[in-house]
Amino acid sequence: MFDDLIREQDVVWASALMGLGPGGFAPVDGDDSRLKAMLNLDTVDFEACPGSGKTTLLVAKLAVLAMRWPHRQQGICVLSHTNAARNEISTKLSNSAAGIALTRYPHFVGTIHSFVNEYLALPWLRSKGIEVRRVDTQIALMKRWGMLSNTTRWTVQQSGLEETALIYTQPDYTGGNKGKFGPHTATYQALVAASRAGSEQGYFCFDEMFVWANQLLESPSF
Amino acid sequence: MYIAEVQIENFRLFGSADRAFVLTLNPGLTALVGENDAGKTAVIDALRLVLGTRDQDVLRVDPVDFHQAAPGAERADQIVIRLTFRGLTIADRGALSEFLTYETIGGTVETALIITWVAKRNAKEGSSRRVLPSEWRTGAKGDGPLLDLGARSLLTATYLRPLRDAERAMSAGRGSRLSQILQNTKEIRDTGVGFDQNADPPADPKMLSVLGLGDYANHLFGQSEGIKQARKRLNEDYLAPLSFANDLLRARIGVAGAPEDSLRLRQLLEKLELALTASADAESAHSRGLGSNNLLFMACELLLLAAESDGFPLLLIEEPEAHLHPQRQLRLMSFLQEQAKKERADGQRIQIIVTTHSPNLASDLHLDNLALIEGGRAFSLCQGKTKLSPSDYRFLERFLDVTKANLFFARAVLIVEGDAENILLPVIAKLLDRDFHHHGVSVVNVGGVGLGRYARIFMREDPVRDGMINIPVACVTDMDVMPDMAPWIIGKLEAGQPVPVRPPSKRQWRIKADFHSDELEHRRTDRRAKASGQKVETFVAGEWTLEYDLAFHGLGKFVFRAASLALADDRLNARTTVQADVIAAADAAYRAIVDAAPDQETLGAHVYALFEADGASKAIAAQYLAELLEKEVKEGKLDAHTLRGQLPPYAVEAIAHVTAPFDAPAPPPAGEPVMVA
Repeated sequence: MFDDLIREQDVVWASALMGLGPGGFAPVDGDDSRLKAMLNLDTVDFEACPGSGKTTLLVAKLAVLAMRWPHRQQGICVLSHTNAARNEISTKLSNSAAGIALTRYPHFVGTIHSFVNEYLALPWLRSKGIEVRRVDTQIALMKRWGMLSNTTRWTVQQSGLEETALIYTQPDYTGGNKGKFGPHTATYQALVAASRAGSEQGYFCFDEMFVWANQLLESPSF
Repeated sequence: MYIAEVQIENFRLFGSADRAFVLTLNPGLTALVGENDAGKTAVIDALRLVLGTRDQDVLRVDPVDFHQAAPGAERADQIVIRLTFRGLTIADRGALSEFLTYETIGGTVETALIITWVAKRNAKEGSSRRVLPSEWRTGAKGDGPLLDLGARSLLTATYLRPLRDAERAMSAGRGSRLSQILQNTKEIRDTGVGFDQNADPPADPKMLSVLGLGDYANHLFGQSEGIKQARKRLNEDYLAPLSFANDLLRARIGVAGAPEDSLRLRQLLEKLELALTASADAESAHSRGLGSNNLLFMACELLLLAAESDGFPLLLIEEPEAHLHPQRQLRLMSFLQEQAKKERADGQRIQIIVTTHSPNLASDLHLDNLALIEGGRAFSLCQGKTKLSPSDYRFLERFLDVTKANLFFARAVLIVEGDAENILLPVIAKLLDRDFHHHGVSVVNVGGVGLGRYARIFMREDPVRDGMINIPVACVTDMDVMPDMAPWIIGKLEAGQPVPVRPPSKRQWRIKADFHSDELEHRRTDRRAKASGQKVETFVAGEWTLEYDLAFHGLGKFVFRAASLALADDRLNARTTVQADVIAAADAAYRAIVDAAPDQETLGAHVYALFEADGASKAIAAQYLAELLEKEVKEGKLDAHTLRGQLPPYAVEAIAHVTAPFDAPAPPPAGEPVMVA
């Protein structure tokens, strides 16, 4: 489906777009590895030392793909552990149509967290009637902690746990590190109740979004 | 994917809250039927606003589109249109995943796409922008991400306007619809190879693509000896003397062509024109009329929709019957229904929504595919929404034909069982100053069967939730119980013969004596209950049949005359006798019956014997009776008020139900002087 999406004349264009002049990816002294890398449309793993231009190569390829993209219902999905690619696109491509297109439907550029949020967890939570206000572990835990009674807080702290005991790993708000507290203890139930109440108010920890995305993916008929 | 529900608030005639418009749709074809100004076009326009259309025309919100609850009242601040799509394919779900809504129904998760379109009126005084830019929200509560332009483009509908000018749409010209359609046709784009200047002449011109042929032709133009010479002359004789030595002007003659393939193809296709030929002979230049061109136009749009490999295929047609004669309309409808059943390569089926005023179209469709639009509300006629049973649906599918389908376009419906009622009641209504045409009443003659089934079309299964159809429906039916002395008078029994006891007798007719105590009233209540409730009401003859009841209540003389004329109909048509003679004879005979009859029942039975025993046609008699009554009123011998007093109450009530109530009570029937024994 990617046949002929990157042509040689596009490489010159992309190079100029990235601020490298027309010959940014041109062969140097018979070494055409950069040009080959640009034209390559197979599954491929690029390894190089820091600062050698891996992200630049990626963004240049993306610019060409976005410009030539023929599909309306399928997009380019760029996933990274950090927002580096996204920032690179916004700095290097902010003035080009390709850069703007990449940030819009049907494409996606972002972290795995934001991908899961946008396409799975958020639509699923909205459908449950939950208005998601913030996805931020610190804020969510602070909210939940505030809902606990002084006694519960003291008990939790005495057993060597802290706010993170309020993070859940199951859609019924259980799981996570609850220390020595078994499911039948009052403290355990108070923790679960606070996690539920805080979530229903719309405050979530980052990793909890995977819990919800997973629930959607595992739901019958999905 | 298909649109399963349309909700419209504060748009044109649709209000908000319980006055909002809600329409549920099934996949495939839906026809919106109803009288003028019911809101059919407003529904189509609402869909156009939300989805956008593929033609070049853009519908914009106008300040007058904002609902006005009452004349002079302030207009609503915002229009909200909510579309719910269901039946999403895997590709749909992938393409639109961030916008989806999941509904957990009975343990399984259903996927829906809910789009809430909001347009706000600009309240700022003196602003030239009277409507603020509209928003496309997603999610059940409109709390999801806004629908991106790219995603919206997947949903655009194909819209065919009413009274479309198919000839213009199909003709050549800049931006012609035909060129747009052809450009998106796979065969045009993918068949053949391009023209290569280095391979001139091409090995086989037939192998060239459409664009290749165009390019080749352009290339040939440039090579043409005539053009070359003209250019030479232009350059040498005219431009050279006008040029400076160091800046020579040179002319180039060629066909203007854009460098981009798609643009050049469009320019080429815009030169094409589509015309229908009369026969298989494609060269025939015989041109077809508006109707045929319209068919052609629709065929092209369908071709495009069916060939697409992505997006949501929705076809909106206003009045597909435009310019088409009845048989063509039926063929078109069957064709559209077939098209809607076909699955495209990407698993999508075309959804078609049409508005129509054509009883032909309406009669050809299943009730499941019809939605009645009335007074700004929609009433889907599919199973489960109406009081109709599955057997009613099968019955109506067989028998709801063109003559009956006008009930979908009426303001009121009178359903009758026979020709006599069909002929007489409209005339009587007119004489009572309740003209059916004036009140938009449509009379449906079901011919003896299924009276209640037609009426139940207008009854909602859940009137509390869906509201009631505000179209009064009156069913008029006979009681079919004769007075006790009638069997001998109308010839069911010989003189002296006793009434056969049932069982073992299998006689179908009933006399009053067959019913004990309140059984007769039960029979009446049962008949009425078959179709009564909401705005539907069944009116059962007070006594026996329409003719008998007319005679019984005071029009005996006229019914007798009419029946006598009906018996003499052949002779009257052959001119071997004249009306005056028949009437004189009838009056004499009637006088004798009146003189002999001990009561109104016996009198009525004797009049009715002309139909039952002598075989007078009820339909022909009804026609004569209508003429006689009209003449009587015209000559001032009878007025509306007196006539009403002489009519059977059930007929008057039925007429009042579908038109307007009568203010003053009817006078007591003057009746014929009956000799009391």
